[in-house]
Amino acid sequence: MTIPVLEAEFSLQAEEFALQVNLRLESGVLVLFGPSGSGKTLTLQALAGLRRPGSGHIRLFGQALLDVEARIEVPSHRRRIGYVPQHDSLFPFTDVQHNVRFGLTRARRRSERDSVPDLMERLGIAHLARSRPGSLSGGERRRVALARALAVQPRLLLLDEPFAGIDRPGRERLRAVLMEMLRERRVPTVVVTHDREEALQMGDRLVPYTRGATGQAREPGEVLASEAAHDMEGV
Amino acid sequence: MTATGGFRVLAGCIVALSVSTLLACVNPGTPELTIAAASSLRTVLPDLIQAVPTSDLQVRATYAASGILRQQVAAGAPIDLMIFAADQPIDRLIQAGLADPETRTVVASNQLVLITPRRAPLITFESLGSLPAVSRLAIGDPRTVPVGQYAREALVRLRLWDRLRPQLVYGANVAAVLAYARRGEVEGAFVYATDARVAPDVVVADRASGDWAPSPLVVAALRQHAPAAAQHFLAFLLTDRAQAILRSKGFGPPPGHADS
Amino acid sequence: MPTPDLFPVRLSLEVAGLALALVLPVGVVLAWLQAHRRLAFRTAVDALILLPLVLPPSVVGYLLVIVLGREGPLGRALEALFDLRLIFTPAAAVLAAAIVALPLLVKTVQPAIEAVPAELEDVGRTLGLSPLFLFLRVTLPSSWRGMLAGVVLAFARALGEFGATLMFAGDIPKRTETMPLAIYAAYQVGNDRAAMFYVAVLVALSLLVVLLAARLSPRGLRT
Repeated sequence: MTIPVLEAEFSLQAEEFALQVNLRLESGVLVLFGPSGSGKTLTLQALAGLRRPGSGHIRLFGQALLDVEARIEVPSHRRRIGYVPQHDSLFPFTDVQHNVRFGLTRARRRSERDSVPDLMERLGIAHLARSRPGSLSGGERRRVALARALAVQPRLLLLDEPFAGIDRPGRERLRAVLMEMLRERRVPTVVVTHDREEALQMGDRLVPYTRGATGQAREPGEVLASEAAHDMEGV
Repeated sequence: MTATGGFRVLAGCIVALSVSTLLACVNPGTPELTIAAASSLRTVLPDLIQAVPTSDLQVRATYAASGILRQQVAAGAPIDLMIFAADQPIDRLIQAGLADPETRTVVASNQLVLITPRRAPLITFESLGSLPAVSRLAIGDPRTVPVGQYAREALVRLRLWDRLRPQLVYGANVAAVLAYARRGEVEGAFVYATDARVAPDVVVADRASGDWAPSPLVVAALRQHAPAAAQHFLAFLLTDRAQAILRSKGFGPPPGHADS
Repeated sequence: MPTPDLFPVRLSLEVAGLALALVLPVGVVLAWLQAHRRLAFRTAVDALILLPLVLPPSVVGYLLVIVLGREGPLGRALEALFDLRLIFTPAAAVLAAAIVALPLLVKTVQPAIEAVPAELEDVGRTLGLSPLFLFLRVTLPSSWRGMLAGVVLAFARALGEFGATLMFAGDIPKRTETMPLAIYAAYQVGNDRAAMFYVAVLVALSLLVVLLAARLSPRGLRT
């Protein structure tokens, strides 16, 4: 029996509601789909170790990152989980290449030094190496954020609305590059989106969200078809 | 309370305050005699004022270190009679034309003593040289306080001044110096014998006597064109009655005066 | 009149410098803790830190004397255990200056740290930065202006300390007589030349400080 990449079941008390999560990622890309405010971002933050659930567990490749009952908690900086938040959050006090290299330790920097330029090339930001984040467009900033997260070779990648704020053509281009890279590097990914087409394009599996609770994971096509029949609660 | 009501109360308070202030100015209770006295006289001056023959004499006395008082007079403070703990400040005022040289009188003498906090080891002037460097001694600021100047004089003559300098904590006046000793923050302090007498929690460890010892004087003078009450008071200070009171508080006679 | 003695100038700079060296690590840690923790006693700690800023210096001085003086509980303990006496020493001047400078540093640095977007720190953590390196590589570079402003203001406050210094360190010329004390002493003797000299030095230094602090305060949150 293969160990799932990610297996998480927890509940987290947030400001507006109680979040109940139950999800599983065997491989590839898992899409979290639902309206804004239903707890998708919170889920990513809990997976990354930035918020602490009140109860439950999170297992990555079988290793417990969190087990509240057993009092196990791996701190965020040791989980090796890449995180690209909704609002980029590039470090404004340094340039693009230092942003991308930010997570590399000195030792790894020496050995990764080869792969980072390549990474930047692939994502189309190599020519921006010395630019400051403030001077970049939305799409460019997103690419830098992606490069930064990928540079440290995470075991799991979390993307929060990765294409929000980018124009249509840019979005498609970026998605294509990203999917290719994720497949090549075999990085399991959890993507948050409220866009149907993206969900369809990206996900191998999809978990629907409604107001703080996850539903049954299914094929994206299935979920989106039944969406037409059910009411989605908006916020 | 509404805004208008509150405003009325505020206006009322301001009016009341202004009226009472004006009244106070108009009728201040003018003293007939204003005396500026050195801090060391705080213990004796009230008794002297009580003992003056003239019955309804209104006296106001202000106390500070003599150097400060000199500054205040020079700055125009309305002082009729000055009684300082050293001759230098008086002479400076005379030179500046603010005091009448004819009225300069030595009214008493004092003695420099070394005190220690009550349970501290006893020391003497001469043994000060062997105090550990971490010890501290309180001294009136020699720049303004006469008792500090006298202490410095003594230490210089004993050839201890340079060695002890880093250990000398300056006090702004005698009361401050006494306080340091009473609180036990210093190993010793230099004050007048008259101060040590009335201070609780301190012990007179040694008295300055010998050829190195200074002779503190209490010197008085009147301002130019001082009122009769002031002249009267000054004359009184030299009478047997006044001298007896001074003696009872530990002051010595003015040099040359017959001992009682 | 003799030419003004430069010793108080040097002493003041040394005392303020040492006070700053004490206050900087303590203050930054406190500011960070206050910014990041949801402590139950956060308001109480806030008030305690602010206290020396609001209390009259003579109160601070008095408290120092009764706690750390020879007869005070801590003072007695220090003398008994380490043969250490603080009162009436240059160290006392440093301590008095540090105590009044600390709140200024914390109150300037804390908002600077709070202004660092939480998401920046979140990303830093997921990139593998431990709490210490997160502070050094993300928080600090993002808030350096506020930090510097805090340092500069704290230094100025330490430089100008008078009341608590006079009471706890005492007035010992050439040992604890810092510039503010020297000004007061010079004024009392009528040595206006010396007083004006020290006043001029302090005004010049303070102007410099105020200008620096103004240039460093965040104008909109640009870094």
